[in-house]
Amino acid sequence: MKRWLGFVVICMVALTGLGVQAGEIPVGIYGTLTGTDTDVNGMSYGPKDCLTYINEKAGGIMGHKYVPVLLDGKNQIPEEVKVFKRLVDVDKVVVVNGWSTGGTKALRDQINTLVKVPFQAQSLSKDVLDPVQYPFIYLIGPTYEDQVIIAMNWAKQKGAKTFAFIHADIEYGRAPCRNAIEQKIPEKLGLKVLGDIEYPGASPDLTPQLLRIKEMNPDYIYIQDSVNNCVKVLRDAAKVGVPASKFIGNNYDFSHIIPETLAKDGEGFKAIQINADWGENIPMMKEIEEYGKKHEIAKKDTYFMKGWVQGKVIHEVISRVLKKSGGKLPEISQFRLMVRDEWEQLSNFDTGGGTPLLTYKDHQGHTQARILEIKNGKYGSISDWIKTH
Amino acid sequence: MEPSNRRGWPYYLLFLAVFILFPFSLFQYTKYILFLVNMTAIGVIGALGLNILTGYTGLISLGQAAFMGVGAYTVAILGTKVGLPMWINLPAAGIITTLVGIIVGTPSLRLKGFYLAMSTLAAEFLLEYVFKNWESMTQGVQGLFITPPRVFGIHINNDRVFYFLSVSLAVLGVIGARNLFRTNVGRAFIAIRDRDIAAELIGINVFKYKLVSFAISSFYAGVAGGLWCYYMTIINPEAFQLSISIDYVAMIIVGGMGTLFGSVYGAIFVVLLPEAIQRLMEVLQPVLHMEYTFAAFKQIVFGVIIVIFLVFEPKGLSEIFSRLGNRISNRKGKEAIQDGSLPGSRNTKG
Repeated sequence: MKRWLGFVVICMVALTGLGVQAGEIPVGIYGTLTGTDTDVNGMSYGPKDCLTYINEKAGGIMGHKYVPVLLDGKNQIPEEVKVFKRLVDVDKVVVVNGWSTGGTKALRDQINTLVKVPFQAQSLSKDVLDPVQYPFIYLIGPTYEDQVIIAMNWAKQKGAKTFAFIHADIEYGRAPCRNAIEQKIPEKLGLKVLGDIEYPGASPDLTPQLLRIKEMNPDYIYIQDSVNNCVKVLRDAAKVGVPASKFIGNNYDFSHIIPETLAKDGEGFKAIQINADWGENIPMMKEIEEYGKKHEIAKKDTYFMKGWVQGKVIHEVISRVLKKSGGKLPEISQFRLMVRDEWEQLSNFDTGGGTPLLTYKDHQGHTQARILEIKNGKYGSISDWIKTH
Repeated sequence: MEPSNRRGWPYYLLFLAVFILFPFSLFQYTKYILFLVNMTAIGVIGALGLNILTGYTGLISLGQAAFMGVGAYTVAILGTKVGLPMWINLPAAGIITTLVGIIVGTPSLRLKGFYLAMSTLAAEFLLEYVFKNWESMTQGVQGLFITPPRVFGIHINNDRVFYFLSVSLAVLGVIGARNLFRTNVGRAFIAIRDRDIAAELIGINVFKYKLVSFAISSFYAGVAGGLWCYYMTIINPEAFQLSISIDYVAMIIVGGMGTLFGSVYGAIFVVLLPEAIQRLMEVLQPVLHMEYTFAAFKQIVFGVIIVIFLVFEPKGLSEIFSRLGNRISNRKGKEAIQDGSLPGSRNTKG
């Protein structure tokens, strides 16, 4: 019994002293730093680096410094729930920049009714976008479902008659494709869906699935997955003789790793872009370059850019709240409510070219995307910015 | 009442007092600490189940996560599609998982050791496939959402209320397992583990008791899975993958195979060690400057600690604690003899 009591005391002492201090604005960020999908985790480092940059460049906001707390959710629901609880309870964060669709759904009650903390999801699932049901959850851009529609529209314009989907056997893969089929979007556009092919997410070889695609011979195939699996799909497609030019990937397939890894087997592959790429000649890039002079940047890619934009959004909303409060930090629950309200009011916010102007009335920053294609090992735009709705 | 039991009462009362007062005594970080306690309690129940099967009966299983999944899906399906209350769903989760456990355990008649482990691994993959593809029941990869339950009018929708449920069930689980090994059934398990041929020779129906062990183990896993489902309020197949089974194997190895408190120590260790490493690394962060390799380094430290642990104390934490306990009681005994406070030792002081 003494051992048990000692253990409890040690735990409590260990946890003491981690809380927020006056003059600090803690911002919680979690992503997959070690789990699956680490290929796109630049968007977890982005907000942290952006807020650190603001601290260094402008001394924070109205005399208060940001304390970005970045934790690893490992792309697993229990881990994400755990780090969320730590962020809101121990670190007392004002805003949480979250990660997966499943984790966001698992936390929906905590976010919206129990804790009431503004939550910026990395997930672009339509299922977590609902200003009435989920008033504290915000997304930055077009949902996965929007992106499917954009790809189909583009394919139709190019004269396509048939279409197919390929994705991993997880919700992120299955749901958007199935939603599109159930909502009869292909029929409305005059496209026939020949197949909805699934593969085990961790499978190293997707040849059997690509052979089925080859048999079906659709005009275009939509990949609802992220970079690593996209590389596998295109690699095995080349193996069985399906050209990369038939494939269109979502926004998490826009990565320079793809042409670098696949060389000519990646030529003609198309991906959807919802935010600026690394190195673009935009004002936001100047900020990042300035930050990069003093700091190492973990991931130099479009996902880091997305994360940087999210950091800017958080800063903008908190700035507006502090202006209203005369520079005083409100009590934490009040602070969170004020941030939520201010976020919803954010309109035509210029991110410095990182994204189109952001308006959060419907909790979705923007609804635009464009299609890129790999030519001579580089992505180039083959469409204008297309509005989904 | 036996004298030894009477001496234990103050401790039991103290435990009860700590149990009741603990969630109200936390002056900060209540939700987070209680979350860790709740996850540990669920881990204890699951680890107890695996320890009964592997530690006490000697049957290696890599299917614990899938069994927990069966329990979780049972709770979710009965709760959402049938609309049954929690007090029916949780036992039902245990019972349905028991039936699945018996089916999965059937090959244990002919298989043991790594071969049995492989057959439970097959069950893990099979069940995962069912969770993913029996969409009319499980909603496939999208998973099922359940609303936090109500018991006797109490809405179990926060960490504090859930604490009383999860820790109570974990304590009941420990008591149940403790009593099990006082019965012929429990002793038959141990006999099978130690030497199954000898057990058969002395009249133990080895196959029957192996299946009983699978059944009891699965019941624990089912209840743990059901609790997990109520706590997370969402279940999908990703939550019950092989890595979770490996975590449970780690719990009983680190805690101590074939010891009840080994399951408790193991669950605490596996749930809390990553947190302790996280804290330590955060403190050391300004010195180490490992901003971007921090998360991966944490995993390495976790792995290394477990390896060091297994090399230096393969019998687990329970062995360490029992050795410490023996040393303390020996020292007390010696002091008592020197003080002359032990009966019959007065003369020794002269």
